[in-house]
Amino acid sequence: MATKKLGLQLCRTSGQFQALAKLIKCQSNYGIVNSIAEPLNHMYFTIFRPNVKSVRGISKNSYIQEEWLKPRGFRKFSSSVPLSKKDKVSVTFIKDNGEQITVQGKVGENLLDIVINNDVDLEGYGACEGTLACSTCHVILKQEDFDRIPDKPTDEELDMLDLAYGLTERSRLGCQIYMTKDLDGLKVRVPAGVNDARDTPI
Amino acid sequence: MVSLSKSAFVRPLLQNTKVLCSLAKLQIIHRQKASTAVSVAEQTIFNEDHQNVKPFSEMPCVKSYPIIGSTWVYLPLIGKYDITRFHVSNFMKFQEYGKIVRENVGGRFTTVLLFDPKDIEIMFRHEGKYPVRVEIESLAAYRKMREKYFRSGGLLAIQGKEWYDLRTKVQTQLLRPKSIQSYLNQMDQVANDMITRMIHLMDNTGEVPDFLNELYKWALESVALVALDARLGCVDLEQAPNSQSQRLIVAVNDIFQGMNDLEFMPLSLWKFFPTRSWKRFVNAQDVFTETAMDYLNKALERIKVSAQEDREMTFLETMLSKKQMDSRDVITMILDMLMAGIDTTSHSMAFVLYHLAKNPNVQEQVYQEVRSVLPHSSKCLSVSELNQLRYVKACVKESMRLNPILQGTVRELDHEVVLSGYRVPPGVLLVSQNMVASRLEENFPEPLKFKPERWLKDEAENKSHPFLFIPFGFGPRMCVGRRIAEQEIWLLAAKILRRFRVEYHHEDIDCYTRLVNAPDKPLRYQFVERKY
Ligand code: HEM
Ligand code: FES
Repeated sequence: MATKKLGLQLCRTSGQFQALAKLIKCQSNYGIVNSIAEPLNHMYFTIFRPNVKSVRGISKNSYIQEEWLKPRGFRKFSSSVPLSKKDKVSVTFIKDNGEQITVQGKVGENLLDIVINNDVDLEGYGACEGTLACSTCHVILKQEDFDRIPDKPTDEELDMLDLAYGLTERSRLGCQIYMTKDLDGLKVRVPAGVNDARDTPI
Repeated sequence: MVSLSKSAFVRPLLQNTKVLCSLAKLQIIHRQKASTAVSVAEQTIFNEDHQNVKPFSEMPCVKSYPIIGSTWVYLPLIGKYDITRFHVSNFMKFQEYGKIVRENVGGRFTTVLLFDPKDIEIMFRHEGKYPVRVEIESLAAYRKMREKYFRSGGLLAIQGKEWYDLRTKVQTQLLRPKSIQSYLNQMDQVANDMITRMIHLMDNTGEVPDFLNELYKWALESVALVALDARLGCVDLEQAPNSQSQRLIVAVNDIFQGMNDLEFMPLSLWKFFPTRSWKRFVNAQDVFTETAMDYLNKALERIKVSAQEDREMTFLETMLSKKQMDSRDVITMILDMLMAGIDTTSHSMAFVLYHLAKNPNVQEQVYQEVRSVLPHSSKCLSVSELNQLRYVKACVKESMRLNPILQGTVRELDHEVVLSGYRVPPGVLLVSQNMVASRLEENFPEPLKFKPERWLKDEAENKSHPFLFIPFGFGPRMCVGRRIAEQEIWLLAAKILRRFRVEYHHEDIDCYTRLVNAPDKPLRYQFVERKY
């Protein structure tokens, strides 16, 4: 396991030691180690560079693993999961009037991506572009599908689901369901009302 | 005339059958969840079926006179409502008129106050693709005046397709929950520095003088991480008197005072000639605009030299690299973030600490939770550790229920809706009254008690109507800074409570209405350092 030595510089702030360390020979000059020595013989540190996933750990000897510092290039700031596989999967959307629309998507895409890429005719679906602000991407799943979706809803999704129209026990937000190979052939129901309520005057 | 009445007669009939069909299916779905919300369709149909929809003119109305509207009720001496305490005056209106009331403001426009969460839900379900929220006039006027920097009035001010085009360029980077996590460590550093600064400033009783102002500095420093890609140095221990950070801090206060004066004075004299408040406001805005230009240019330089570097672009760099985005759009966005990201976050933080100081038992539980997640107080929190702070997050929610930053949310609809049995015409300003509604016994049992347990998902007993609690708004126009704000607040709250016991031994703090709700007394909290 390759390691690198950290250059350490200690300073005292308000009764605690803070070790500010610079990475030696790191390719990026943005590499900064912020570390807290508390007590001094252990060093908790975080290596962070703007917008690179930080690395955290405990070191007794100020050595860290080289692979934590691997360069990855100057990249677009993005929050989506990189697509690992390009495998095709199919998804069926069942509209309120019973119409079924089956389309193809890729592993790693979420249901909203698939609706948009295939131009699925679901008026008003995904109004906030998957930013968890609107709940218009609400879908209802069969129990067994609900249970086998690998990503369990986050707190942010649950908060937004509460505000969804016609909530059920098997509801999820489509923009948070990422397709896996295992979910191939998934059927989801797009509940009525979202569009009726949004677009038609009384 | 004829065509009008005819369509009014035919339309409800057509709608009825359509809604009925979907209703039958909906009810199946509805049975399963203990959602107390009555769906919009049910609401609508109930009203249509019983033919008891009343005209708008019959809705209870705050007394008004033709030219000045109801503004007189806010005037000192003769008026009965206090314009600096909307939550009190609106509660009085609720008691006097009921759960829906209309008001003619300044003889200019009609507002309807919605106290019933069912009406609030309908308002949002009908907001459409481009929700309309009234603009802040002074901000829009300033930006119009400085046309060379601003292409538009910004997200806070513009409407329709223009608003959507700007929003869609920025929201995925700001609002997707994961996107702001890349700033977690830097925000954590700001929180640590803030605590170091607090210790430095504390007097021997543990009070931090002018703590609210210190919170402004922390909020500015934190939001600037994202907006300007920089540490401004506002929470540093040493600051030169005429440094950029100091000038910004002075400008922040001038801007808030300025906007408040300009927006809420009964007569908008500033629209006719440059009043003192207007000039002060413009000067302060200029300080911000210049600073933003400064950092924007730095970011442009950085992009040129960074092509070979090993890192992900920041939010600012991404915006500047977008072809469809004019640098004037970027400036506008940066300034919107700075304008909307300071008093909101810092006042929210102030109320969280206040409620915890007043509820030592709750605070103790928070402490236990934070200590278990964070054995060493100044260590950086990771994303998964942040997710474990469930009780901290519940406390922040509970504090926002009792003391939200805004009374509620504003929308203008482009079509008629039925609210509480009254037909409400398009173009009326709907104002949801979440703050008042959240303090009613019928909506939250023991409404004035600070009980974070209400928000713990599996422990919550009887669920409240979901549309009561929307402190960041809802829908495509929801607060675009929500993730930034929440992450900042969770971090600083966790770090302060890990390190100190917070006490407060003075007069109770309530809020008064500036542009946003602000604490009405100095934040004389005592911070007692914990031993372990
Ligand atoms: C606790 C802190 C905050 C609260 C309670 C809050 C609350 C709100 C609310 C209620 C709205 C109106 C939403 C609607 O109409 O549905 C809003 C809009 C907005 N907020 Fe915040 N906000 C906070 C912090 C921030 C921060 C830190 C930023 C900086 C990025 C920010 C930027 C904005 C912007 C730009 C809008 C206008 C969005 C649009 O119209 O598209 N806010 N905020
Ligand atoms: S698209 Fe708005 S929450 Fe999923």
